Amino acid sequence: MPESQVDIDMSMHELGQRSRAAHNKEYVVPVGLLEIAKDEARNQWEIEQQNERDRVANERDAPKIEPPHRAPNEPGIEP
Amino acid sequence: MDQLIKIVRTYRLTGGVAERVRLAEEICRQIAPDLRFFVFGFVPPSDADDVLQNTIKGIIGGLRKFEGDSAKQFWAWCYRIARNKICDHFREKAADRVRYVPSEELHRLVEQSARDAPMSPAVRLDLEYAMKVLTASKPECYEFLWQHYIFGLDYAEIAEERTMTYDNVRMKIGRCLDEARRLVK
Repeated sequence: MPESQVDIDMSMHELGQRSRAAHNKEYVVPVGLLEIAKDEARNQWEIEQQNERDRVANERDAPKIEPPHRAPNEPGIEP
Repeated sequence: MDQLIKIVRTYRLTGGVAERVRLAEEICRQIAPDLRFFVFGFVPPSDADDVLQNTIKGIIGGLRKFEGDSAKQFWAWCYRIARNKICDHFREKAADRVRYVPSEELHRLVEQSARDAPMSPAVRLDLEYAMKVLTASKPECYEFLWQHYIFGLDYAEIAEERTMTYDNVRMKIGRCLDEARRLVK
């Protein structure tokens, strides 16, 4: 059993290194997971397209605000 | 520059759907093994793939909002999402989070690694002890010990992911290790 702090530190790191290496060696990214990533990218793209269409439609349909009409001799705030 | 962050940047700037789908697949291929091991530390194997799927969806779905520009920041962001998905999983299951320790799986992986890199009986005993320490640690400590020792994040990476200072992380891990050792004794 490791006694010192340094020894236990090393053992913990070795446990991690060995288990990580073994995990990464045996793990193959499943095709289904790759498909999920691709679907999500497609969904996001569609959401962005829809948002853009909505934005353009809102701008087009928004009532235009005319500047207030002022008679030629009406007093106003001078610049 | 790190290849992964280049792909992430390209994804953020790309408007075409076909190119985005291709990049999303490449990003997933690069990050999934590490994230799977990250999730595996907290969730039983039967649920780990579901949590990993949700994590990948969260990452790809949020890529355009990711604002960092280094691989380190990107990984910290991915781990934060993974941790949130793990929390969501336990909330849905109404289970006590982090009481799960993948001891059997760790044993199996260590045995597997011994085929490639044989170990002496003394090293084997040390690793057994390390596993006991990890298992004995309290829930909050387990997260830190797993992230640092088993998953292999350094203090700076954990600090970035948890928005803590480097020294706080270093001291926390030191205290957690001491405490777990006392519990084993």
